[in-house]
Amino acid sequence: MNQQQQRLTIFEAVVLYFRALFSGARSLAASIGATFPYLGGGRAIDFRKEVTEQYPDPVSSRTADDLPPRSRGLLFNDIERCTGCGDCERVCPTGAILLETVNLQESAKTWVSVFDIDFARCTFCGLCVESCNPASLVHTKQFEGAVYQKTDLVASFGRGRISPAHLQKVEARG
Amino acid sequence: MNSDSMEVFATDLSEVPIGPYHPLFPQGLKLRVSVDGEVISGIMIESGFQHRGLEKAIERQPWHAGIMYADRLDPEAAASAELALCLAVESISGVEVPKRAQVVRIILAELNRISSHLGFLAKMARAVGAMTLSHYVLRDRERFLDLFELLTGSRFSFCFLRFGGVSADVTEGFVERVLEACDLIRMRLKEYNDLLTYNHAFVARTHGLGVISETLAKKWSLSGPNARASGLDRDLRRDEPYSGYERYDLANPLTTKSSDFVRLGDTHGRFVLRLMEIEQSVSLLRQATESLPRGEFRNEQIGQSFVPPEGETLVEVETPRGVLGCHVVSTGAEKPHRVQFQGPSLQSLAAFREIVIGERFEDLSVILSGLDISLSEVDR
Amino acid sequence: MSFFEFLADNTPSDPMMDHWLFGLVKLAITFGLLIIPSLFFMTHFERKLSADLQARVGPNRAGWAGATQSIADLLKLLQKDTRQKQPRWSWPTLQVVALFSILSVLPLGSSVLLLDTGMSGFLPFFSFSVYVLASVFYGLEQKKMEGGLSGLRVGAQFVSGLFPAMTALMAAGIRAGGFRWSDFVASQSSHLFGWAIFSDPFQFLAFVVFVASGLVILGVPPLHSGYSEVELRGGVTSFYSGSELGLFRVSRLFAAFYWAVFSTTLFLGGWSGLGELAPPVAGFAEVVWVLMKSFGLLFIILLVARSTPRVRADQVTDFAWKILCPLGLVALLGTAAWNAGRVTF
Repeated sequence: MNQQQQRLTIFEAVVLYFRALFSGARSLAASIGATFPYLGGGRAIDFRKEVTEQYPDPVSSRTADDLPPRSRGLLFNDIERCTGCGDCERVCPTGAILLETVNLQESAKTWVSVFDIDFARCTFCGLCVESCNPASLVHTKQFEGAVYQKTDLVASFGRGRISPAHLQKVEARG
Repeated sequence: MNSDSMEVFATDLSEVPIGPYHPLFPQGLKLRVSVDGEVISGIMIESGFQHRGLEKAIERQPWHAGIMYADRLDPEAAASAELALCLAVESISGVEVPKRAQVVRIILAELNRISSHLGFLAKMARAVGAMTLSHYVLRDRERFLDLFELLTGSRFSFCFLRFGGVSADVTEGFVERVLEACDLIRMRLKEYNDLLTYNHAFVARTHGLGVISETLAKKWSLSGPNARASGLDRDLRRDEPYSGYERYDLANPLTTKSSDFVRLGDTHGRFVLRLMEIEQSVSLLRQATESLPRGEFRNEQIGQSFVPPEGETLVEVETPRGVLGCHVVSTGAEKPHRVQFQGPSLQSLAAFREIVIGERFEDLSVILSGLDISLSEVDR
Repeated sequence: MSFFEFLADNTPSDPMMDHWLFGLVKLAITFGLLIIPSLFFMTHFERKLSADLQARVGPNRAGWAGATQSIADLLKLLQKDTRQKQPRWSWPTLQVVALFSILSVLPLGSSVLLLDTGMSGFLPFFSFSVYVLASVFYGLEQKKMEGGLSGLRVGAQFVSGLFPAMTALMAAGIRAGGFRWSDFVASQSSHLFGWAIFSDPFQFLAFVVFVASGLVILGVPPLHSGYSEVELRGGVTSFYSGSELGLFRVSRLFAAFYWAVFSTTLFLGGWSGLGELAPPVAGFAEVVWVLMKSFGLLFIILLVARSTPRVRADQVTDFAWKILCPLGLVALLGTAAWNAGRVTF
């Protein structure tokens, strides 16, 4: 927007013209000077001249071990330590966790029959891991969770539904 | 080619539909632009393609789950949205946040500001056609995303803040890496200046383009860098500080001597102002990491099943794009009654509709990227 | 009389038929062994170089270090079935025909050169005109805005870039004393680097004007607003695919390459400077020398393209009319004054 519409003298116009020409040429030279060092691997960061990670080539891609310890990858539940309290199911924002338990009569342990995590819904927010008291539910650093069928996205960690006969056997064992 | 059908090529007025999927925008937006030759004479905007029902979804889970949804409001600037929600709930319930937690929140918010501005830089470079700079900027942004992963466990949607603090403490060596990243970005800013800011072609492309005057900024309630570049010097971190910002000295970019041409309110000014804000965030980060107080990182009394008492409040924070308002209504129940977010991008989109009339069609993408609009914030 | 009887009746002993057949063979060899492989080499080189500049890897899967990637892309495009949507004979075919008509006057080397006429310097301009105007009409033929706008921008740029190119060509011709390719090369063959751009400052100016106006006419990045991907989705080819798209892309690449070869011959010494070599080696060495110089020029253009943002269409035409035209005229007049009395036609 040109607020001042003064007429320039010819001299001023010519000077402005050449100044624009030279500033254009100079900025072009500066731009080339900024990109030219990158040729042949100059300006490399961390000894890598390309920032591309050629996944899944082990040439330059990161594996699960290279990730920081707090990385929130796929979830894993150690069913031996799980008490079936259901805190994770309650706090999950998307309802990805499904829990079914059976109370064993003569022991304090709970039989966690169904513990399904639907990774189609999981947003890897970590609220469930934080809420887990026995610390059985943890984030692994695994990030490769692609499957061929949608039903395979559900990870089942439960011990499985049991029939009443089997239940008696388990309770007898104690 | 065949002469039996004579098509009359109308050069006066045509309607160009753009979108919803188009190289112009990273997310979906539908535009209907009326073009007179190459000059835009009218525009109709249809947004809503990113609507996911975030606000409704927050109402169906206990309070803590809302943090995950607040992340998704604007994935690039997640820390500010989480901060808004946490501050609102803490204000209703009178929860005190330990000083260490406040400083960690500030560190995360400023790192997020830098990474969001770098994302803006990459989008702007792409819109103008400087693909090389776009790659360089994204490479530097990776440094910051690595920092986020180190601290929070995730690169983009952190889910890190909790009511009463943050969910985990700063890891060992994190502060050193933050300072390294700050040094790196300051060095890179000089390179970006060479490549883009002072480049003759870029200046010719963006100078005097899409000027937002101060009256227009006030009319559309703009905030953030869009408004500050037009002369409305209002920064919530300085004027109404929250979460401990009052302890730090915000070096105002608008008072430095190189800021005269920023106040014009054109696309170039908005661009340069965001670069200056990166430097401002760097200085803030240095101050914050220098004085990281000891103490708890979380208010221990607030657990997973925390429920705020009855109350209602509105909290505003300064996100990288502008002022985000979070309105929370609690009835003392386990689930929130209503959580409402109002982000700055909607106002920018409204202003865009007005300033683009009369500009050339080729400048549409430049103006749009220059306003730093996040469509997921508009549509929620 | 059958075709073979016709051939047999006109035996190689007839001088005119001798030239006719020999020229055909030279054309086939030039096209098949030089032009087509250089296409693939150029695309591969350009992609790898751009990737290097941008801290990326570039093609590295197809063949050794990705060398056959451009062949793979071309094969993929040719396989697409576009019979329903696009007519068989169309503008990109005309573009390619126009470009390949330059082959007869392409100054790749003294032995490969097919025609050395007194107006060889002007002939490519007709071909380039047809090529660019075919782009314009290709875009205007589409009923969508992307093609129409793109066609108009390409047309505007073309008109603005022609005049400076002509003045620069005239300046080079004045110095060389004629518009034969051999005249141009002979006037720059004093020593290995006896190039025109080093002989006087107006020639350097004419060189810059010539290359810049070539970028303007052909829509080479960063002056490629007519083909921009961001708002025009590729411009004229936004809704086309298949072999037409392949032909179009190939023709754009070739146009830039031919312009580089012409600039080399006019200003950078052409095939001269290699001294006296034995005939078979001389021909080959000349071609390699010209190609090296042309690729060097293309490399510099690529550097400029990748470091600068795209210039808006009206700014390109401003640049051509307001900066290139006066500079071209200055170069022309300066060259005329400098060479006054030295050159006779």
